[in-house]
Amino acid sequence: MDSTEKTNVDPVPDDHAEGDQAVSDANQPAEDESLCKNCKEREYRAGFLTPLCVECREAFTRFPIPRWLTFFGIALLLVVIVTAYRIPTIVSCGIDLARADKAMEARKYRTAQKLLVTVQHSYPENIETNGKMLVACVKNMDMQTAIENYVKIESKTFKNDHLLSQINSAMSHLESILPPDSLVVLRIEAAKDSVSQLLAVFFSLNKTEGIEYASAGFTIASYLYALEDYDDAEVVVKSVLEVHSDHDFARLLLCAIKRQQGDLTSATEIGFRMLNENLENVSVLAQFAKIEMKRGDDVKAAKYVDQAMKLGEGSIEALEVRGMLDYLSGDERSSRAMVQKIRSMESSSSDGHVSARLENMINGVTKYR
Amino acid sequence: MVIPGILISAATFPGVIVHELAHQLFCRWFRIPVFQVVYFQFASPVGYVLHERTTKTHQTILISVGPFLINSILGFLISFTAAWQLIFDQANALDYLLIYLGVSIGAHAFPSTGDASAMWESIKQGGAHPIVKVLVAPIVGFIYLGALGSFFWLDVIYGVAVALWFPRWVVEVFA
Repeated sequence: MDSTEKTNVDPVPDDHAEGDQAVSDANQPAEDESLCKNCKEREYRAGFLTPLCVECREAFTRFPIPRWLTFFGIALLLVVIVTAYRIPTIVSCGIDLARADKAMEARKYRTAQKLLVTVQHSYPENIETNGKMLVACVKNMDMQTAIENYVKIESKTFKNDHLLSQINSAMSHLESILPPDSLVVLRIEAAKDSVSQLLAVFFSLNKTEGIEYASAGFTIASYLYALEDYDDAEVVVKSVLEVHSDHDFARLLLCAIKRQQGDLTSATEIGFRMLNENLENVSVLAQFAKIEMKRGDDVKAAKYVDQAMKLGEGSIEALEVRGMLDYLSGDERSSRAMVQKIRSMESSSSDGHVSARLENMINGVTKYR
Repeated sequence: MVIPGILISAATFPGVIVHELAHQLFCRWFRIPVFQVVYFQFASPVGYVLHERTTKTHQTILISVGPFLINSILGFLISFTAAWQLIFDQANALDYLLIYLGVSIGAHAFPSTGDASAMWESIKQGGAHPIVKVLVAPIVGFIYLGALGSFFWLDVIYGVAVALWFPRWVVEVFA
């Protein structure tokens, strides 16, 4: 590139014929050396390299800036000032976006999700934010919000390869929990109250269908769990995990199955593996709370409940363990209130049996420990 | 790809104007007489400022590197909000104009080799203290490196960094 250059010389006024070196040379003959080199009227002021009088020096010191440039500068300044109203929103959202990035790097996806919500509030169409939100929601097992964000980024182009890879991974998780084929759904629904019928449906599934198989299998395992057939539920869920090892809901269900079977060590191991992937997984924290309640350590359970409530805020899993702990500590009234609260939220939850489970526990139908 | 520098300068002429204005402003602030200013021309150099040589080394340095400071800061400020609008997929025509101005101004932040030689001549002829020469020499070196780098579009890359990357980086520092 032809760079701009600044000529830094002893003065070369346009009308001067001798060139650069003449002016500062003290031995120049012919002209009156005491006069200003510019106006040639007044005496020059000593002490400077260029012999200029005071007035000429002052004039050259204040060499004018062209009017067009001044106007352009003012116009630009006005534009910058007018657009400055965006700064508070930009700085706030920029900081939240950066913090969300850091939270995701630190595997704190609940924090990331909360931060990304504030960014989405101001910039709902931002592809990058919506993509990260999808990733965070899947990690947090918040599939409804994940699907909402998937719709926003569908067929959009991502320049960030790392983010794109995370989104593809999240999409794979999302697809695994989508409802199976509608005919299979009908068959499973028809069999949901019978262990043998559920198993019949399960064994009729084609394992090579991958995601469809995993999705149907997980649904069947959930119903078996609800029917308290933990051994068969374990067989089904392990078969699902053979096909789709990252199926978080299946892993969580296996954790719950192990807990109910009394194998608290295995349940804890499964939970810690999941927690290692997302340090703020509310569902896993709720499982840990249940495990500690099973062990009889309500103090430790309370810590997990508090963590789950703080991170999960209105999540059903957090409310369930809160309700359980209230009941086990003798506060039945609070526990029943929690049942009502959970019931009102259950339609949008992936686990539709929570309120019934908790109610059975309060009514003494099932004994937790 | 080799594109004539004059075409690049023409495309980013706002940066050339601000570069020369920066020289002029620093001369004004140090009360150095300025005899001629060409903000832009289709010739080499594309712009220049003719002024009295100063005997004070710090003035020479600041006049020479003034564009680096002024162009960088101005380019950053002009494009700050526009860059973020681009990041958030909400940039409009005005934002693209501001980004263009930011990139153009940032791309002409580097002092020229003329500035570097003027700096060097000043400390040589002015009989500056050896320590001053030691301090100024790296600056002169960087300027020449920058000039070499402009062949590889380093100045444009810097302009893009000032206008698009620094706004993001500055906010993320507070995260």
